[in-house]
Amino acid sequence: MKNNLIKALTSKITFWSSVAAVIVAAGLYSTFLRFTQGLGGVTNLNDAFPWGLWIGFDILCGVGLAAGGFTICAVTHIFNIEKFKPLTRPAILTAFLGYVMVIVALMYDLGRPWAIWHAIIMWNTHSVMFEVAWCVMLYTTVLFLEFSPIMLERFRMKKTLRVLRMALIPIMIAGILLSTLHQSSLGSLYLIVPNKMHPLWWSMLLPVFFFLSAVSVGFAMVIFESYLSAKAFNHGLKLPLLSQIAGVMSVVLVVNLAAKFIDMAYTGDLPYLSVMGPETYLFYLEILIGTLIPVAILSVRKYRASNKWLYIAAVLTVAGFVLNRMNVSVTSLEASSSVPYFPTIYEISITLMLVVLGMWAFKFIVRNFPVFEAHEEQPKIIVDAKAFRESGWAMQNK
Amino acid sequence: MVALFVVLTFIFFIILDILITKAQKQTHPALSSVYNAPVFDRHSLVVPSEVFLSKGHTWAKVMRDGFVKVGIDGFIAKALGRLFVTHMVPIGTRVKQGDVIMLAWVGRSNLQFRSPVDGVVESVNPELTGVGLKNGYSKQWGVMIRPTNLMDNIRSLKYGQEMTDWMRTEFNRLKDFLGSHTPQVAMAGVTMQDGGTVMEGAVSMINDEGVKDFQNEFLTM
Amino acid sequence: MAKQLGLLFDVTMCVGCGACYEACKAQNELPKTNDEPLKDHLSSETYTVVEQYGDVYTRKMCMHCTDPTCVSVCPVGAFEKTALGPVLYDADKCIGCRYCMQACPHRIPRYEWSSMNPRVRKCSMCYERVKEGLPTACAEVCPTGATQFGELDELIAIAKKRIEDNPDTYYPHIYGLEEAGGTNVLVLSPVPFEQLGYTANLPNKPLPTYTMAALDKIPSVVGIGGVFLAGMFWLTKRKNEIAQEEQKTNGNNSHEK
Repeated sequence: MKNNLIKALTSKITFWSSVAAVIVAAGLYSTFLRFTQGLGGVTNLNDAFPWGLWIGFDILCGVGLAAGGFTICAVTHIFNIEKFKPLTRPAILTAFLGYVMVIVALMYDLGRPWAIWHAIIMWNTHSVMFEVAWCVMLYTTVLFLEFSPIMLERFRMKKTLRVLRMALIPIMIAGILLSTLHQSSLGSLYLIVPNKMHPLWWSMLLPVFFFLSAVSVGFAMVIFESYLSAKAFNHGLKLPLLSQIAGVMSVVLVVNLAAKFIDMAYTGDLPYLSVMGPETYLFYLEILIGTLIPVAILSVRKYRASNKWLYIAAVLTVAGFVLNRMNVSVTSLEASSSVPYFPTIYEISITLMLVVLGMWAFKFIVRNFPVFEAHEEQPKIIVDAKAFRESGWAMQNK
Repeated sequence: MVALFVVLTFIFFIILDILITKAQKQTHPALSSVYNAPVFDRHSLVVPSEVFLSKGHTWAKVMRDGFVKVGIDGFIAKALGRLFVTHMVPIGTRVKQGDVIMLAWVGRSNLQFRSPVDGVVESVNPELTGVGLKNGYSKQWGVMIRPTNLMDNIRSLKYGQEMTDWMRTEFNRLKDFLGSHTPQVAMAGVTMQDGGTVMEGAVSMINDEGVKDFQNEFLTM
Repeated sequence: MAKQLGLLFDVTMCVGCGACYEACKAQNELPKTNDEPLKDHLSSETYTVVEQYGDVYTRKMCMHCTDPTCVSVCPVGAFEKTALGPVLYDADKCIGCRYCMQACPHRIPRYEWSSMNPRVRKCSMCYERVKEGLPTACAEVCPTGATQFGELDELIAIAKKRIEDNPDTYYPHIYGLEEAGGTNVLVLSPVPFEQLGYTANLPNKPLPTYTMAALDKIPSVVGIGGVFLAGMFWLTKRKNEIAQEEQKTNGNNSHEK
């Protein structure tokens, strides 16, 4: 009996798919409650704490974790470092799905989701939220365009593909600019609450910190996803590429941390580091797991080239990033709101469901579209006289 | 506390994933080095023009002076990973199409490679023996043959479009082959059929029995 | 521009009768939410409350900021600072993002959490009344004159004079004169304001200036960033091309893969 249970739990196909099924079932039930009972019925949000898990994780983390899309695009298409190209498509797909998830999450979190289109015609250019809304709309479109060559290839629409290829570089540049604005504007959202937010996190440089941490976590996510895909689709790991990315990532992490401390020294917030309390502990934890440990691991060449340590460093960077966003959106505001907030099981199940749906969509698209294949539309088994000459054969015959 | 809860949930799922993988006796990319090998898929097979391929994965290139250079093709090099050619047929031997001309070791078993043409062995490439085979073409030719029946031989060899198509079928056959021969089920079965890729050197991970089957399925003519 | 209207609330004069609370409920047709007015708190059905701190009473309500945070943060412009002073909310525009609630330095806006068509709720300084020249409902009923309605300039002068004339009675500060750029509701108190639950650590400059500082940089980020990215693209592409050409020319005698 016990053995059977263990077997069933660990049997190959069923474990994660049954966990996913349970999560989705719970999420659907919570969805039903959300749209029949309102926000008050399913969330622990209240007048003193109007933004909770959905904003903190689904939106802030969701957008940040999608940052791999623009960082890798910049590397491969703007800096033209071709060898990273195999990583581009999965990163763009993840970013696109991440943004779709963000939009879906907004539908849950907005009190009047059916009015979301108001942002298109009712402008308030003084609002950071307005900037955020437009960045989400435009960048999701850009991501769709960036991803569309893959679908066009699949359906062999060569003419459209050619047109799109020509526009691809301007599209990529637009995408990078929009991401830069969007990642930083999520930090700007919190500029307006200097009196409510804990000084360890509030800073005029919040947009800069948000941008820098998004860049580093973008790289971390590319590494992390490579492992997930390697496992799910039996791909090899492109370990040398990933190690190089990890190197760049640790540089960005260090720059971000340095900027943070210089800023704190400049504004005189350093003394808060020695005031012990939940905020301070979480701040230290965030820096420890999100920056110090990964950077320490990656600074050793041997560890950087090891599949195990690289994975640990990437997972910790992602965890540190998530901790940072949750700290900004919840921890730093809790004390001043004087009301403790903890999400309900409904909020949690909807968040988990969105993650699962995102993973399902990723799997489905990878199975049906050439995401992991080379970026050429023609397969490369060609009788290629040039490649042949360049491979040194010709000299052999002289 | 919410922050801590969210992060711990994330870490919990990561650790659970590793534990489940272990319990199912599967490999995890963070823990197993099999994922580190470079990936080889049908799109990375580049075949130089000017060569003919035999069904036994040896190539032949007709030189300007009329001699034929013979070697092991890139498909084998990639499928087997590190492959060492250990024996070559002596100079002066008269060979027929399909005769064994080279022996290579993979793991603890050897593989036989057959001549694509009839003729007399004119010279062998001393640089090939003892060196791991990399892409198979170019410098890594094995045997030079003075052909005696070239026009007939060539008819049974593959080139151009036919070769491209054949390479694709061979690639798919390899996936099926690995599916039924790899000890690590996770590496082959389930997802490979849907167009996934094959690890370079995947064949070298199979056992001696498997290498024999590989010989029969891919290297006979 | 018309003269700005405002309210002056003097803690020293309030007796905690709760008349303003009742009048506000009546004016806005809000249901009864608590048997004891002094124990109630702001909610989507209560726009003003009277709170007791020891032996003094104070009122909480929308401060109608001079440069309101809610007006600045609302992505769809559902909030409006009227020329007369009151800050108004338009539910027809609202998308329900609740940024106004998150951002309000005075923690005033309340939400209809259990509604399927939720609105943000708060005091409107009886806009319908004041634009007709009437005082707000709360000021009209106040028996002691603790809540006084009038033109903002005059109210400031009155407040200053009171502190000047009775320095022993008042804590020497007019809350609302400078807080977050100033408000149209002013408060006088005998004790420091943080003791009465007012946000005391507010900067004197309007909060929207913080976000505007970031938003102002967008054009330069787009401009400089766009040029930089396009330039980098061209440069690196050219570099790759040159490298490739060199490889081709040198490749014949030295290149080997």
